[in-house]
Amino acid sequence: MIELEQTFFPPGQPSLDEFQRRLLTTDILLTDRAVAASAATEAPQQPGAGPRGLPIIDWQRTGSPEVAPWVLPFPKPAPGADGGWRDNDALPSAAVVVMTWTSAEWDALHYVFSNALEPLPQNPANNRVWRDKWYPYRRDFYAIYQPLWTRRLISERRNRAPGAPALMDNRWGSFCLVQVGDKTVLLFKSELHINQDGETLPLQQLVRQILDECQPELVLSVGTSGGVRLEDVLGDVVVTNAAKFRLGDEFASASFNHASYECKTWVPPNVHVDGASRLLLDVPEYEVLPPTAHYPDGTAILPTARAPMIHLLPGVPLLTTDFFEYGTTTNRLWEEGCCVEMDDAVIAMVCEAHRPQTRYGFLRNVSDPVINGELPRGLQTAWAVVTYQMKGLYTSYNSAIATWAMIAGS
Amino acid sequence: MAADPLTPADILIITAADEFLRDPASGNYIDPVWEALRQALGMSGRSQSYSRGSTEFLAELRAHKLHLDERDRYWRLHPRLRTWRGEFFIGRYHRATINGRSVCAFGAELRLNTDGPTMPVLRLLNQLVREAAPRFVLYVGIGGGVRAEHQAGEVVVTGHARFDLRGELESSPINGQTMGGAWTPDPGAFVGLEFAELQEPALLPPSPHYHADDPPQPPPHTPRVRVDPLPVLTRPEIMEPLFDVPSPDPTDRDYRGDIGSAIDMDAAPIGAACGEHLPCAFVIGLASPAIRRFPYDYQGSLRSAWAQHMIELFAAHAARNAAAAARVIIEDA
Repeated sequence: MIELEQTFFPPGQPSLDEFQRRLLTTDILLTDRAVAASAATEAPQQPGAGPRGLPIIDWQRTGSPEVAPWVLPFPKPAPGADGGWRDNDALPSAAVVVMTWTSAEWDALHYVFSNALEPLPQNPANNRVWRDKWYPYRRDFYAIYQPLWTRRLISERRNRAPGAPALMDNRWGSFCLVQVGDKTVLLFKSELHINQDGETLPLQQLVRQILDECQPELVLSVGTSGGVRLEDVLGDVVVTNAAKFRLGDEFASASFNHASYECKTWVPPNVHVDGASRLLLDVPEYEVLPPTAHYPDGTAILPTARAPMIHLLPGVPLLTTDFFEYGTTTNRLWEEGCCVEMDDAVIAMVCEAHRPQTRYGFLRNVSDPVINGELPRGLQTAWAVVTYQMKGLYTSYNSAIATWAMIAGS
Repeated sequence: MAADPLTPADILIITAADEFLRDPASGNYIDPVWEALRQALGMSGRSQSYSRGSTEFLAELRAHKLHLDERDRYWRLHPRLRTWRGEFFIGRYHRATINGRSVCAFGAELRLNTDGPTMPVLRLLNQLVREAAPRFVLYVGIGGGVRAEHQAGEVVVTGHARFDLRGELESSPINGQTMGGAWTPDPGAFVGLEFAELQEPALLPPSPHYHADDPPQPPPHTPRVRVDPLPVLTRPEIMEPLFDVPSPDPTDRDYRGDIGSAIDMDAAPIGAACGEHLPCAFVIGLASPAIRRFPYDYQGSLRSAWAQHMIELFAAHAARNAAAAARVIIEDA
């Protein structure tokens, strides 16, 4: 087979990989209007009666409805009100901090934990209504303003995605407070990302501030990931207390590249895993159709996957990359870790160095199963992008449910 | 001299230069249409570069590139702006003699999908036709099928090409116009042509979680020349180097089989340069069949990936077959 030139694009243009990475990273840059447009291309995937095809959550089915989450009042009135939340206010203290990263992950986390604040709308174009009810966190944001703009300018010069999405609203992120059992939980949607903000890695500063201000006993990170284990199906959730850097792009030369971290003081608890598993959503892969009219009539390849599960994998690191990587049936990433994602080892690194008494753990849903390594590279990437974009909300629902189980059981 | 005008030729062949395929033998990236034409027409040796009037084009292309740098650096394709021995050139050409007729094959560096809304390729082609003063013009290129019956490696031959422009080019006064018509192809001319058998790839599952013991695959097919009265649709993408991907389904909004014979990125400007009276043939090798719209796609990325995969597999075959069909047309011209 003849290969397409990697720079099939003219000189100075992005490669196919880069182009499709943009599709992915654009997720965190999408306006609500764009989210609505993409979501509108697909009917709800699941029979659930909730918004956007999510199920109505019946906490009774967990067997532990007494520890179902509920929303706590904010520490101050809304920004702009008398005595209201100010840009330089510190985060409130919380026993547990849950960090999440992308739009779909945020939607799912909000739906599971704080829907009472403002219900998740059927139309994602109306997301602003509930997102505005999460408070902005801007304390000392000025300190990274210049590095972020530098990153953006460098990206433009290199003809790459502009990056630095935190500059859109000039905030580190947004938060709200919920209660799970006797624990106060701060949910934090980060606008900082390892591959978006440049070589100064301001995500480290954000994690340090969260640790200093919230003084949490436990930090969890929850989000999507590429599956690397052959047995993991779309919608599975892997939970671990270990992370390893696997950096191959701008941070390849970082001294912390390939460093591994494991939280010896937190092991994923299994107390509520069975109960949470009853709430998980089946996220079937697509029935694969042929690309042309020349295949035999009725050609389709049907998925066989089982129902999603929560896998507790203490000591098995997830792999944190600074580029869009996914597991395939041939790249053997399962020999290195349990999934691949783009944030969490930073949290582990900062916790170990800055506040060792804070425990940490990671919950990642499999938003892309292991991709067939026999496919041509372009189709592998396209499948990873399509599955992530179209199923990410539903797989993120599962990891949000698993997050509840970890908090309630810790 | 590169700045000299083209010398007159009986037949002028135009292609769009694009070195995008890796040649497994040499490891180099090649322009499959150019290579196929060189072989089919027996053209050996180094091509001549052509830079006549390049200063004007260079200024225009650089201005467009500056505009992209300023406004749209991130998403858009940029002009090629290639140089040979330090000199900017806008094309290369080869000469041959076939059946006593002088033939000039010209690879144009200017493209509709890279050079901006002023479409300088239109002026370049007018210049070439004026200089070479041919009595017959061929466009030879690769493109995509538009109907279910179109198979990879087949060749569409037509006497018409239509501008089917979108985006920044959509408001051009030439958009929607059908060019050509002074030449009518003879279906009987290609009867003796035989092409190698090809086969589309097996359908593989995207993950291990599928029933896929015996991956379905279309039977092998033998490409053929399809003479078609409908125009080739010139429908360039300006955000990725791929023609717009049509659907084989007549009920789909991306179906183009009712208005066109194939889809490509470069043919219609050649028709415009030839005007109403200069005979002009369009020879399109189908590097990709029409690709269905998937109910689960995201912004067309899966369709696009399939089309690119088909091009990887079949572009060289499509180019060779198109060049062979072009040779038949030249011999009959």
